[in-house]
Amino acid sequence: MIYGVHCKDTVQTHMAILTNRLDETLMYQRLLSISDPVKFTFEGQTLTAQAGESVAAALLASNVESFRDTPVSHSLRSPFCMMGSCFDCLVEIDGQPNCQACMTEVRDGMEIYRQRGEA
Amino acid sequence: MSSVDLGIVGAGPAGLAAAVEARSAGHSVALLDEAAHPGGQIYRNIDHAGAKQFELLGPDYAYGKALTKAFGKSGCSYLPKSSVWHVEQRDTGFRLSYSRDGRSHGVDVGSLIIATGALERPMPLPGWTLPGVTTAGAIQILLKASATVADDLVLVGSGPLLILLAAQLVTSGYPPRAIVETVPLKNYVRALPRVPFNASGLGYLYKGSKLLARVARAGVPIFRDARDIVIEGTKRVEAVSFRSKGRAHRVETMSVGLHHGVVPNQQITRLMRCEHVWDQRQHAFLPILTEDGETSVHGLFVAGDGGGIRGAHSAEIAGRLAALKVIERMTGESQAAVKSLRKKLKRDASVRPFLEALYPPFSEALVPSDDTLVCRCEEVTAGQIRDAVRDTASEANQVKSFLRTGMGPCQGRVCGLAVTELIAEASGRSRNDVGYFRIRPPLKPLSLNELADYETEAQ
Amino acid sequence: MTNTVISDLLVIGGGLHGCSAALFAAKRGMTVTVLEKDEVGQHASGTNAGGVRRLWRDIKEVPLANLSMEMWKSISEIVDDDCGFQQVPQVKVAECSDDMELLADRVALMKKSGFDHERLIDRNEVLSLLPAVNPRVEGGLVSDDGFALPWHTTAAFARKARELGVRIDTRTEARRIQKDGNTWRVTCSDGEYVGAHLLNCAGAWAGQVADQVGDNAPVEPIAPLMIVTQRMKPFCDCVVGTARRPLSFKQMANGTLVIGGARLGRVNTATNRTDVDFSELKHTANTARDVFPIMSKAVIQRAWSGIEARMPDLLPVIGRSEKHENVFHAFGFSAHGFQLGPATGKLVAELIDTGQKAPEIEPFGIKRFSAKPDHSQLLGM
Ligand SMILES: Cc1cc2nc3c(=O)[nH]c(=O)nc-3n(C[C@H](O)[C@H](O)[C@H](O)COP(=O)(O)OP(=O)(O)OC[C@H]3O[C@@H](n4cnc5c(N)ncnc54)[C@H](O)[C@@H]3O)c2cc1C
Ligand code: FES
Repeated sequence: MIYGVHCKDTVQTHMAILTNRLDETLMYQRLLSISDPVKFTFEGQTLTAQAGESVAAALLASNVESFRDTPVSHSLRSPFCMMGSCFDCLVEIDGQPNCQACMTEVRDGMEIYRQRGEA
Repeated sequence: MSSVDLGIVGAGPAGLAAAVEARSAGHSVALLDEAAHPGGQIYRNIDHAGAKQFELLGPDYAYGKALTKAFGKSGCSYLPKSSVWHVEQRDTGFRLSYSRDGRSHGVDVGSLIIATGALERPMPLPGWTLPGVTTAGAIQILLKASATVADDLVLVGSGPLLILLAAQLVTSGYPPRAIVETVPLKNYVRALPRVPFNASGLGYLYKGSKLLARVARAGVPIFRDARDIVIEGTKRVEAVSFRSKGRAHRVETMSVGLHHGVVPNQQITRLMRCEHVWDQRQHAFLPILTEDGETSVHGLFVAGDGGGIRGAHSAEIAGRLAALKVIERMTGESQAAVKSLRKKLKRDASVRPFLEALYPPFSEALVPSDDTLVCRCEEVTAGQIRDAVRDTASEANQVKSFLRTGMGPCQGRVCGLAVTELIAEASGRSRNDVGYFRIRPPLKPLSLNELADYETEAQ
Repeated sequence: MTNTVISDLLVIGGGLHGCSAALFAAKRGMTVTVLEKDEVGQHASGTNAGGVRRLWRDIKEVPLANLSMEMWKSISEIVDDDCGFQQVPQVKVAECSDDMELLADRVALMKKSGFDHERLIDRNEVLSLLPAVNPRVEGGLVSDDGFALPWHTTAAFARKARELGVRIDTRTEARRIQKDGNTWRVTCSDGEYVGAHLLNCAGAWAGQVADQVGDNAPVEPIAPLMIVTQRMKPFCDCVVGTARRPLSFKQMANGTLVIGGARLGRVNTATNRTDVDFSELKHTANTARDVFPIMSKAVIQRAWSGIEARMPDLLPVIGRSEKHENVFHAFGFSAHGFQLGPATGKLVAELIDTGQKAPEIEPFGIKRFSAKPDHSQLLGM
């Protein structure tokens, strides 16, 4: 049996191993190291991305979990479709709210913040 | 305001092939696409992909290189990063308004081919809005555009794209942690008589079986006939629980990829009030088209998945066919290639009945439990929609007025079909009677500044 | 359906006015049937800007608007639903000193007619009411008005009317209207309806109905344009217009901004089709941004227009037909009839039931458009 896949009856036994694994696991991994770096900030923290990729890809590859919270219930969201249809990737870029991170190319010096509720 | 003979929206196989065809006959063509580079969904980023991506994505992806190359040489006026937000009918054709780098512009076109492809079919399951849950398409886009993979992905759903993605991830060295497959076992029997016994159909099946074998060899566990699926987590996804063959399972994970098919992107054809009709086999609304892709609006064509899901190869053929039709109109000369393209299109579609019978949408996502969110933007649950139906609303647009479903930024792109399904279930009415959201411009949210500064003239 | 439906009152049109009149007529004990060709509130009533405005109305409309305002304040008692009604100031800002003069003249005129609900305010008072307004404004005119949710309001009136026994048949278009002895016989796509009284609340289509009973009504269908933005943090709790430039601007409880004001799209009443004209809406966007600079951060979510009836003098037609004792009209509200819904319905029902015409609706008779040849003979009635 592989980690984390199990029948309910055995949940307890596997829990310990699983917690360990989650600690080491990153959500997303780059297969290639960054060859043409772009520096930007997210919530004030400096991050690096590959030139030409979208803000959403750059944030996911940096393992940013949530991009925004919703105006209705303030629940957390992150990109769902990556193709411009769901609007769950909205962030504030250089002071402009409601930017679709998956449709915006990341650029050197961009200042990006989570979008909290309504703009 | 610039003007051209033919406008095309969408730079996937359908749009690219149409552009090349029309340019080779000497007509002026403008092609607009939101993305930064040509290729559409399937050949996304192909002109900038590295050796790694070609290795992972295989020859079907590399095939697109020839298309973008021909397109690049065609002399078509190409407008990337251009999001079309309005289409109006004019005496001389159509006017497109589009946004590019924060400014809006207009272009007048004589004929118009909509090649905006497909969207993921909505898959409202409990927990599907948690961070870490994406569409399977999103995972593939990360792979194509950024060579980035999810580390311990659990794929949930069914369909050829799900298997393709799983196989690509296996090759990448990050196989999915598990596949939770929602195909009822009886479907395998049901689909059997629809196996297409011709070269094109068998070719598709052969490719599919090779992908499956690759996934199986990698030891990816596949939980078949899954049901009672719940995505668990508080601030992000933590696990997927479900029953498979009578046993309860719980798989811990940080990312879930959902997929149970794609459906035509109807935003523009709905905006233009083209006639649509429910197609039970594709389980989606399709624009009503002539054999060559013309809608009920004269001069407005649809090519590719936007007219019905038939895949990349068919999209390319349909793009050429629509372009030839436009050329016939403009020159008054009938085009010899039309007949053979029509035939090719039919042949290429022969695998569809098999796929449609094997991979219908997942029933739990068509009629989700009462407390499942259906409209992600306005956070409306299935229960609220059922209540609205009880309270006399029996049409998609009434439910929209009542509950704001489809009024958020996605304009129903994500929830639209799910809302139609639910109303149909709760009211007992047909999907054609329930209908679909009226689509209002702008097609994509538009900054007020941009509209205020938009240089346009009245009709 | 082959049976004939017989009622005391047949209402043509299931917008706010049709539903309101039906509700009040039912309260008076009449049996009422409403015929609606599409869905309740599908056109002007469900798609308007939701302004419950008295400010800047034609003097002739002020008494009716004042009565309606009193009814809005207790709207829950009328329809068991708050209709999203919120009482807030309505402000017309002056963008220059000429504008200020225009507003001052208005106040003088209102005073002369005995109305005191519109008040001139200076720059500081505008700024305290509207902290986000462009500080360059000179002053403004204010009255105690409000706004409500149009579609919900119309649905609430329909729901309450049904509870009181009103029959509302949707997707039922009145095609032929004939006099049959002392009653009216209306032929629809799938059946016949007979009424002792007939009320024309057919909005943009009311001219055709009036024509069938021999009344002349020069109704012009129009398609007022609206914009709604994505949600923004609350910054405006008044309904705002300007002295000279067309604008109607409000922030809803959910944070979205609903912006409209006299700009028109294209309309075809035969197909129910309206087309948004962004070369017009661009001016609306400009005005909104000038008045509220913060709007340069706004994102437009949707634009739409509804189909409304406009009369040449921009005043509605309310009252008895010129030709028939038992035919009545309430239409032609010229893009400002939402506020008038409750009072008009009440007074029209009273007129139909008792024959008493309230002074508030006195100025709106259809006679003002007569002096045209009598069509009823041509139609063989
Ligand atoms: C997420 C996803 C993943 C897929 N993965 C695969 C796969 O791996 N293999 C496979 O065989 N098939 C895949 N498919 C199906 C495949 O994409 C289609 O069969 C085929 O590409 C259809 O081609 P098309 O030209 O019709 O559409 P597309 O390739 O989708 O092209 C449409 C284009 O229109 C643009 N567009 C849309 N709206 C606007 C607008 N308003 N303004 C400007 N531009 C606009 C889009 O940006 C897009 O580039 C996938 C589909 C989806 C949705
Ligand atoms: S992730 Fe869906 S719109 Fe960006």
